[in-house]
Amino acid sequence: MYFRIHGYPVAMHANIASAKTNDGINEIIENLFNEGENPSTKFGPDVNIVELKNKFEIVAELPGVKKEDLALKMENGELSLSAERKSYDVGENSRVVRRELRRAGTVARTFRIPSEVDPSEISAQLTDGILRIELPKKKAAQPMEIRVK
Amino acid sequence: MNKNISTELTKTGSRALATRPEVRFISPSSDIYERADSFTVVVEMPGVTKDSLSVNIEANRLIIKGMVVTHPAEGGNPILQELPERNYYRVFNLSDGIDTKNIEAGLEDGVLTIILRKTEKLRSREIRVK
Repeated sequence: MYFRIHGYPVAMHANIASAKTNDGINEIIENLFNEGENPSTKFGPDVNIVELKNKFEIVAELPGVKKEDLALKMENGELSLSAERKSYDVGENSRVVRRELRRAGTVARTFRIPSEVDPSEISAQLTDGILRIELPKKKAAQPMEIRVK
Repeated sequence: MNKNISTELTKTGSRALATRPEVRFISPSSDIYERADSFTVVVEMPGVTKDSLSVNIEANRLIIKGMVVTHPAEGGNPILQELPERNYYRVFNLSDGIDTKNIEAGLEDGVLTIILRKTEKLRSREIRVK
């Protein structure tokens, strides 16, 4: 697992296998989608990640971001997200009365994707400032009922 | 993008109440900019749509209420939860320097932009020195 700052890998962390056992389940949940020792949440958007029977789902808040300002890349088992936040400033001859929102700039975050995910099936949707990434699991990784004759 | 809401000032947003009202409300962050003849209020409310948003004026108060319509997938196992579920609610007190009959508001990509025009008396006037 890499922790990246400005695209340069800074630290490596061993990726825990995706096989699930009751003993190691807490450890596996902690390390799934991990970014390494020091998560780059300072730069990246906050996310929610949920696991379902046949897919994972990542939800990020990117208010004011349009599709053309967003870059999503899947490479070597890592999903990287980068978005350009534009300024809301109304231009010259204006002054700021109150500033609470994050300043304009780039937000970026990288996730290690578990091997159960089929990378060719990853899809994403950006509406109303919410980015929803769907990561379907490979057919073999989906739970299957075994019928006993 | 700009939508004149002077005709919608009495909208109560009752449709908004149908979407998860049991989820708590937080005050959304906002920027306020000032120009010579208007103020611009920018409010970030990701997950809020035009249908789940209500913007009202009540006695010199600007009341903003947005319900978040995007919900986590049902039956999922949370792996990481950095975003709490919440709806948005914020009230701005307006001075009488604001022309409350003439307010423009637009919602795009989860960002609400409101333009509040100043009344005549608040606009900067150049004073000519003899």
